[in-house]
Amino acid sequence: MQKPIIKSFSKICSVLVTPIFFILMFLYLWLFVDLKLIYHGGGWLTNFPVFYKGWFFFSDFAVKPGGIAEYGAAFLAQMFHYSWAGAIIVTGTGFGIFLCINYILKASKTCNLGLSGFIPAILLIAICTQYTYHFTTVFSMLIMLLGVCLYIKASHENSKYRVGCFFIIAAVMFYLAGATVIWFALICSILEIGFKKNWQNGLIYLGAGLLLPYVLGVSIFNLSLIDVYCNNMPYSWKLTCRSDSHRMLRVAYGIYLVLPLALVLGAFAKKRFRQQQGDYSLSIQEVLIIVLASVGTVYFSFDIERQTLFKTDYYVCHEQWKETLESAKKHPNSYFTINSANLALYHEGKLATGLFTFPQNINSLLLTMPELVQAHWNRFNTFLDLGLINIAEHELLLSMEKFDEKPIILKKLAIVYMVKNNMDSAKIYLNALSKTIFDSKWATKYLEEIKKDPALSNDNYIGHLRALMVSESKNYAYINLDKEKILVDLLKQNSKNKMAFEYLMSWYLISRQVDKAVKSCDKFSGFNYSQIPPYYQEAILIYSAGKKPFGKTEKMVSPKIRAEFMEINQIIGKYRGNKQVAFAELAQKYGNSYTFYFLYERSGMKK
Amino acid sequence: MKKTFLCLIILTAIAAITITAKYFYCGRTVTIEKYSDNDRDAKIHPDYSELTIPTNIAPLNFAVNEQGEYYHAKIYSSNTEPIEISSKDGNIIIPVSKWSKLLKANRGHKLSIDVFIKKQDGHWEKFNTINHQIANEDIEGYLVYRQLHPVHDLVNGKIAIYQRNLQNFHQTTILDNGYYREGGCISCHSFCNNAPDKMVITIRSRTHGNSMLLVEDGKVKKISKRLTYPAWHPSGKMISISLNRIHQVFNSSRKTEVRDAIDIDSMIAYYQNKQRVLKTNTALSQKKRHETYPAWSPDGKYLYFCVSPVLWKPTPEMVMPDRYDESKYDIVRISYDIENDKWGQLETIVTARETGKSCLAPKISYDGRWLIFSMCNYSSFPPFQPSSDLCIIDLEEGLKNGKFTWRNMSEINSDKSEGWHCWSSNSKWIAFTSKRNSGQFSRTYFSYINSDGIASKPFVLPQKDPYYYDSLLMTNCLPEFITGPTKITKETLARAIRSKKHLEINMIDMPMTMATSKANQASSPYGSQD
Repeated sequence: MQKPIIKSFSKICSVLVTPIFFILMFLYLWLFVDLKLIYHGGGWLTNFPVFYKGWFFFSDFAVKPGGIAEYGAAFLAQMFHYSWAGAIIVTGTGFGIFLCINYILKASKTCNLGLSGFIPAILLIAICTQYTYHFTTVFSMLIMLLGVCLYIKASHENSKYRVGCFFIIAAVMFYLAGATVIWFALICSILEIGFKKNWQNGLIYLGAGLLLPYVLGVSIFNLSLIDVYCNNMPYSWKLTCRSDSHRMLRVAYGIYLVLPLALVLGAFAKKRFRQQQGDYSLSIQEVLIIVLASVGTVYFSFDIERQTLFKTDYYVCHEQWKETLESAKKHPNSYFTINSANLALYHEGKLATGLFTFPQNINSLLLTMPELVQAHWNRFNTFLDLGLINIAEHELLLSMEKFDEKPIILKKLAIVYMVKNNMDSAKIYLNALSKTIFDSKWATKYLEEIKKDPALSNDNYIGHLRALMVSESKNYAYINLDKEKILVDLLKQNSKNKMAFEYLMSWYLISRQVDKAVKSCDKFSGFNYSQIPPYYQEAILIYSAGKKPFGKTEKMVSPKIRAEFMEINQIIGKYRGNKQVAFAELAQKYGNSYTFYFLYERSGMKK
Repeated sequence: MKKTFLCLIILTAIAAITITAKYFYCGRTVTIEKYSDNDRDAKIHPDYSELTIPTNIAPLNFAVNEQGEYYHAKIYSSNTEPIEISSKDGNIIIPVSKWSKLLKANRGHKLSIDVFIKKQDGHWEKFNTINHQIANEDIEGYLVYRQLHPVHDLVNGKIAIYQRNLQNFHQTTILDNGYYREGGCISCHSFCNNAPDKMVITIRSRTHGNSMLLVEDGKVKKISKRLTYPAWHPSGKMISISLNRIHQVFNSSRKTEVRDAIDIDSMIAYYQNKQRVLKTNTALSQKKRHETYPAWSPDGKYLYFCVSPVLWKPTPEMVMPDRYDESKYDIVRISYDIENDKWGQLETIVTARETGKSCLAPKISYDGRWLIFSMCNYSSFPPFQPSSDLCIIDLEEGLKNGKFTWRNMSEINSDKSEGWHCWSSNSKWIAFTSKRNSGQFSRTYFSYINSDGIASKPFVLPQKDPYYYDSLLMTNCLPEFITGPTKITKETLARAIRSKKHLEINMIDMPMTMATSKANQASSPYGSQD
């Protein structure tokens, strides 16, 4: 009685596991991984493809083997702009690979390895969870899988006919997906040798796989040897030339290995892996393996720090300040996250009141320390908002070097040149942007505006930045920027530059230069504060501690701040002046106060 | 049977789609029987009007920027049938073979283009005829140039040298920095007498060090030294080359070009091929002077170069010295006897005192008559100077009179930077870069130099897409003519860069300065140029 129940349960599992798996994959990629973060790149992902609309961009791809797959992948990757659309693309690719692998395994009667169809999808999840991009090579593999399916479909008992089919399909596949044809030939060869026992065909296919790229690629398409044997494969120099592209590259290799391994196992371990025709259902054990593998992949590949870095940067670049702060609070362990949080705090009007709710560090305000000299991407937003237009331009151009022509960079560069009234350069960036899929509207709008008003004198945002821009001739060295000097210069240029003021005050506080912070208190009046922000009040108290009252500024401190300051002193006094012993109690009560930061150089301690 | 039928249907469909697409894309040719004259010039883009062009240039595809329903262009000259092109979007894309035949059959004649537009009411209008002069002299078959983003001192991204067939739009890569991992700069390239088989390329790479690739007869040799601007002796037996320590800063408030570059230290050396010797001479490497931009006279008897007094103490730190904007160069020359390796006396050609500006990058025409150089307000690097203009000196006249008189080539200069010029081997054509269209992106222009040294209206390197440059975010620089394609592959060059093998060379009389580097020393990522 039990056996039929288990059998029917197994059958239900087997039927349901595929749709459930891919639905969950879609939901996970859409809602949790949030694929728009990969599209954005977060200042980390350097190999996400650029895509422009139009015939001329397409024609560059159409004339080279593998170009169609590259173009197709680049186009589909743009859909990552919307997380749900990106999730459909990735899930669809995983599902396509699954169907093709299953078809090939069924055709070769290697049905007991049916779960191997899930492995590429699981590996795809791992690639996305790690916020890396290897879609081009995976997409090329999908094209090749379709080629293998076509070859099986067109197969005939006549081996010469099969060879003919192989060559036609291989040639088309080489044109479509480049060097991955080697992999196609390998699969076809395994099918011939392992299942049809036709060694002659198998060897011809292997030879053809090795020769075809040379014959077609070098002789006809006039490509270089490296390109014809590498393009679109995970070992292509286009991937390996950048060290950050190496992340999860092995997983991409893994996706390629699944089918050949399954076929070899199916071919050479017949009894174990081949069953009677017709029985292709998954066993409960196999379903369990899929579940465990998926959960394990998600668990082990998830990296909250990386996700936070991508998220905060995305929100900053899209000026979603509240979301930036929420995201940064979850994992505020990086200079970049804190830097983003500071920018968000400023835009939310909370920099003067919330600065020390995050773990501040002397390096996180402007990210200008020598070890972060190449973190150009992470600086351009702050510099642009501060009015350091030329420094922002510098950082943006360096970012373009690293991240290629990403729409967000082009957008900001167009702004820079519009602010500088260099409309000819701005138009080049806007024209390029107008060829992108999702930013063309923004670019076209500005191109129209420039036609109507060539100086953009009516654009509030451009006007605002123009008013902030440093106009005196100043040369700042690009390494080790003197933060204080820059901010002071900005304020000299425009005393209404509130961001420069708050950043300068923040700099004084973070670098514990309370004397300078207190001396800058006379500038408060220009910025419509309802009261002096608490951190600045604390700075006044720290500065005046042990000194004679120094007048008007000291009177600005509210009784509440005074009381808190007294209490901090009392707590330290309670521990006989031993700051280290008092740490825990102070952290609990005043871990987000400036006085606490001043004492311990730590902040954001109060939960 | 079914399968064959299906295949046939698919093939027919593909062919039909291709033909339809081509028909709509290129436009059908229309016959215009009646039209009225619009008595003005058509707005065309790029500005290809009233030019002097060689017979072997690619089609000057253009777009008509006028409101119309349909566009038509008739391209004709005296000796051949006209080319007629119609277009729905205003893009006049000229077939390469027809264009080429037309130009070749009409060498020395006028080339005319009639532009018509069809108005909304179905009526055709004709604009003023565009006239070009087809020159008797050809331009070189190929142009080699470097393409990169407008970099600010870090070459992390793509930088490549391409060779472009000037008769059509075919372009191939000579070297791409992706081939040797983690980027790195491809600094400069130079050919001997515009011949493709003798080439040098200087490289800066963090991973593989600084080197110069010497390509001769299909073989590549790597010399592990940081070398910058090379110039082949016309005999091909030696290369003079400058060693420069370039510092770059950017101006945080200037609204035009934000970058500034100067040579903190520099000198000139020369590499003798046969002897494998890198050496210098006191006249080429004085302590109180910076020497740079070597260029040979076509007879190989004179080396022209630029000199400037040292105004600062060399420092490895990337800061700009206080007097950087006073740095101005003279152009001098020195005689040389290659047989005996003997250097003569320095002669001044043009001075900063006389011009009030910095005179840089001399290039002498192959007939020895003309010298073109860049002149800018200050600095050793014209591309970052919006004031940079091209100037010309008649050397024959100068030798006769004992005074070299320079002339600003105002007929081709703009208010933006011009520079990186080179000569065709018949001394009739120059290629140069200009930032005239944006101030930021360099594009390559060509101009014909007549017997009086007057340049014709420059025209931008033609592209298939008339709007190509409008959204091109790369800057093109260092154009060099070559007579045919270079056969060396990018893989071979990249292999040489990656290789630890390098040519053992002897260094004689080479002073250790800030400009010289230790062998195989890796480069800083900073200090690139466009």
